[in-house]
Amino acid sequence: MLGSRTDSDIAPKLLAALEASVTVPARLRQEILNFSTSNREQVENLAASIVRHISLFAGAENILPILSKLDQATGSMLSLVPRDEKLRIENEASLVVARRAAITLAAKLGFGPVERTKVATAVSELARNIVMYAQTGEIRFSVSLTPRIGLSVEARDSGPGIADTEKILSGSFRSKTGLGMGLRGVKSISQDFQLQSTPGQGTRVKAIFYSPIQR
Amino acid sequence: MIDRIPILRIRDLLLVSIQADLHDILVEQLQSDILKELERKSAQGLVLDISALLVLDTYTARAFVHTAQMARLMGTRTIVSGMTPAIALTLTEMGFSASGFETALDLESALSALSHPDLTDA
Repeated sequence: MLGSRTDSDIAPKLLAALEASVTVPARLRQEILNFSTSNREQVENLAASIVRHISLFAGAENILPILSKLDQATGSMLSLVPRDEKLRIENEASLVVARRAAITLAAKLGFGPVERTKVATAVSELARNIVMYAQTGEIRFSVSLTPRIGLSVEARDSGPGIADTEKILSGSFRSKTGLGMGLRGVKSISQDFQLQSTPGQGTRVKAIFYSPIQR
Repeated sequence: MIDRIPILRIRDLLLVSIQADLHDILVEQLQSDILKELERKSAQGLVLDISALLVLDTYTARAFVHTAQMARLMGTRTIVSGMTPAIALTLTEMGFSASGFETALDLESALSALSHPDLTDA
């Protein structure tokens, strides 16, 4: 199988490059030698393990330099370096794509399964609001590694806007479609939340998630 | 993307295993497919197994509540099984109340709850 051939090729290179920078404990070593590039979940878990390990043993400031070396050594097969992304949201399909991208990017920042689900759920709520109320818009992911590892999710659209954002967030207004619950939910699962909206001009929602390893 | 989720019938139970990345059209399609199947032939229970789902947002969770309510009106008891801890935690923190549908830890407990209704009261 093609997959297994590239895997056995990539794992030693990855391990060697990582060992050149930090001590690799047996458990992480096993994870590197046993993962399969065709298993998305395994790749995501491995990416998260590597980032957490670097952060704890080499410091957050060394995450990017080391990940860059790992990508270099493996021909960017796993593209471990987390990068900002901008996704156009225009239909159901883009919603699924955005959720998927959120999970992968959160993993690359060392987020665990619960945090990954939270980020992806927030993206799902925000992207759905765009499709439902503004038809088109975009989701921007911005990553930061220092001073804290964080993932910012920003949804922008030029839709009808929200007249009373206070009411929506306080829960005193309940829409039939559930706009309020979604936004309040995103606010409560994120660590930082901003909602700006001008009726007739559009809405901007920003939610930031910080990695629990250094919160 | 797939455009339909299969509904399996085992005696008087309907079983739906949701493996796909759920999107809204798929959820609506599933809802109407379930109702059509219940109209064709009644079922005592309906199990929605979501153990393969990584994300369940409030919109989709509400759709499950609606499905359970509609099935209830047609004489069928619905159990959502296999919710991951990550989803349970996220939904709870978002303020979503779990009272809208019955849940079970896994498929097996859902099936045994439905075949021994006296033991686990709805």
